[in-house]
Amino acid sequence: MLRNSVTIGQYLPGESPVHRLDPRTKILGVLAYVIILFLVKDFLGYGIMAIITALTASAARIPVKMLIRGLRPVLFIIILTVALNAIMTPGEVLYRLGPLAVTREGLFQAAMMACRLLLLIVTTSMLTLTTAPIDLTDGLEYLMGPFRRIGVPAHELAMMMTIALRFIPTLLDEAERIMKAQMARGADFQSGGFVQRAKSMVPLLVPLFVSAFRRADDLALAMEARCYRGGEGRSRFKILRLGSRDVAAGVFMAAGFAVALVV
Amino acid sequence: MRTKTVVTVGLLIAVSVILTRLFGFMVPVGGVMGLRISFGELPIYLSGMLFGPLVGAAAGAMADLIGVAVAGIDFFPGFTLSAALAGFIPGLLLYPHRSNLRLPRLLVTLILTGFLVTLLNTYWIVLLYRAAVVALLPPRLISRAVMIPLHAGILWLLVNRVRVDRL
Repeated sequence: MLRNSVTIGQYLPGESPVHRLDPRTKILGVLAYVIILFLVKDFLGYGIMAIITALTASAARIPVKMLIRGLRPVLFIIILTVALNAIMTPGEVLYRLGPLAVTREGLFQAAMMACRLLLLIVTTSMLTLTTAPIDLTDGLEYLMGPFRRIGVPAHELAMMMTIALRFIPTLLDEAERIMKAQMARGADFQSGGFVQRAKSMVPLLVPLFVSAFRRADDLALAMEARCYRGGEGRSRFKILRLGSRDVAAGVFMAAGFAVALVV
Repeated sequence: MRTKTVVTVGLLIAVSVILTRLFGFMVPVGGVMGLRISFGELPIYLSGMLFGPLVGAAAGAMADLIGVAVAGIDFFPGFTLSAALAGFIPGLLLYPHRSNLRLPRLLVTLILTGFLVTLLNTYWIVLLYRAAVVALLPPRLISRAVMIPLHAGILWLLVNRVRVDRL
């Protein structure tokens, strides 16, 4: 029941140029995008950022429906943010309804906020739509590589992420089974106020943790039996290489960001 | 780093993502989704307690990043930083005492961590959505005050009774 209501990882398999980009290019691109989005201060800048997003989305051949569906859970937040900003910001009053006044500055502020949030969400979800989770962790491992010199265990961290991603569905099934078992014993997870609902989680949590620790023990044993010994001297099946495609994408993004910042 | 550590923290991150994103519920406060009630921090506290502050901080940050990838919303580096703190502080204060943990120390640590994370996250929300602090802060502090004893109770159970570190 839970697994059907939640999609784990939104990856949409495909063969588009964006899908085939090196995950490192995409991660760095999105990171730069988010930073620039907070630096841009006017609508022209947001417009250029929106064009970058739209071009990337069309190159990735992601259906527009898919992107809009991704926005649905946050639509409420965006509408509320916009409404509050329109009302709360002091300034020249355009329209008055009782104690509430919509100001010119408020509308401007609200529109800015909405642009920023929409672009932020659409673009970050584009990364997870076009990149398989395992490629993401692979890319992160490569990106953390240089920090190994100062003692960052890049491989181990990437391995933790891979394990976490792999075991989210498994542990979710487990949680559901525990919930059903406790409900059969009369536990009530649905009703009551917030304290009651928080408290009702305890009989679910303790078995879930115990099961996670047991699984960890089995998995560690299984990995060591297959001679896993961390990142030192480990070879890999898939080696990431930057290609001409990545250079082209990098140049495109750098040019776009520069224009957005300058105008 | 031992294989056991890598694997255990990986699974704790998975539990954290499940508890935060799927078993947590959001409460609208002050016009934004200003309050999330979940036990998602529990596994992060645990990774700090059992494996030290640095591993705890890494676990928190990674749980936040994976949560964003899974849910596809609200990436903001500030939240990642708060999540890392939720692993770092218990690691700093509890890891050296993990074999002989006393309840007062656990409580003080959770109060310190909990309120620091709540204040920091409130600041990020105000920064992101320009929500009103006066409306946001009181319910968030109250819910934190309610959650701390629950967190402490469950941690106490897991570490001193169930002995998760020996499973």
